[in-house]
Amino acid sequence: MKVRKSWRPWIGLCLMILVACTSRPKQPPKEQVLKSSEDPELKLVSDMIDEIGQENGRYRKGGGKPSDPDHPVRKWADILWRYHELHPGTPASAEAANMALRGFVYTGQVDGAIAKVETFKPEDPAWEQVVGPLFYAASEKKDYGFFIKKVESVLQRATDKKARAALWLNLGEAYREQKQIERAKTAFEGTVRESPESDYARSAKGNLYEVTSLNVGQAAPQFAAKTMDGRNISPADLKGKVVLLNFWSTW
Amino acid sequence: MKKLDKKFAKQGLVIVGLSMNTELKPVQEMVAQKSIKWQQVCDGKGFDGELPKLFNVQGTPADYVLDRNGKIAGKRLSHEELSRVISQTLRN
Repeated sequence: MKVRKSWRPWIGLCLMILVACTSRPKQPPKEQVLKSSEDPELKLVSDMIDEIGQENGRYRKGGGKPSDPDHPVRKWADILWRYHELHPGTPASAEAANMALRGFVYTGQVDGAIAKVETFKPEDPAWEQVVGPLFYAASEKKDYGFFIKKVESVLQRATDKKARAALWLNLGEAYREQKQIERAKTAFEGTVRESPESDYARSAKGNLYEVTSLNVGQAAPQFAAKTMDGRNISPADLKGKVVLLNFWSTW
Repeated sequence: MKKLDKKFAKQGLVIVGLSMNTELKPVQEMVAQKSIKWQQVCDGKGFDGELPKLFNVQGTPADYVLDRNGKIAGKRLSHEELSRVISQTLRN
């Protein structure tokens, strides 16, 4: 599972879930002006996501497998999906859908996740959040054909700029997986055109550089680095050697 | 990765581990705990560091195999493919 913003920490959040799933939150006092960064619903969902990560980490350390029928992420994915259905159209709802769908895929419910993504209309701005888990589903199935077809049809009618940028980016990555480099380039260029200042555009620019300059058979960029115990690695040290660069993280 | 180290270290494979963590402590702990012997780089800048930018690494894990002439021999490989590509590159 590719994890930049991975499942992180969690613990007894049952109360929060109850609040999230059974009651609409009370209106904030009138004098209190809420900024989007202080969206309490979004905060609630991201707290839940943190907790899921913690519980998942503990479960994994205890030897649990994602396919276990009683895996905690299964339960949490259901809860997040319920939250999404009960609070349609909000940023928190889209984020809940994102993580619920990732949870379904992670626990082996790939086709179920794909069917749920089918329920989103092309005009729904939540495509920004749900195209990622759909890509994850495609990568688990090792089948990008259906993904490309779906995303191209959504792009014909999608209107939200951010959603369009995310759709183009994921489309490009699917083409890259299929080694259709020219189509991948077109899609990455589409991402940059759609939302030039976004993180999606930044990713797309990196990908454009990669499909142009980091192909098998091309010269790798020269680099120098310092190891954690203070030794220097220079291009001369690596000359004439077969080198494996392993980018990793502890999460 | 440990299996790859064990299998190919004697044949001269150089492994460079590049941690995308922004804190060094968990990396040091993991390296000690798993007794990782190959060299480790962690500048604490995560994906904003120079190396991940140079190799367009936006998520982990990500691997690059470089041949003796400094050319890219493989990238974005499954574990099995990685082993196969390293073995082949070492023979060349």
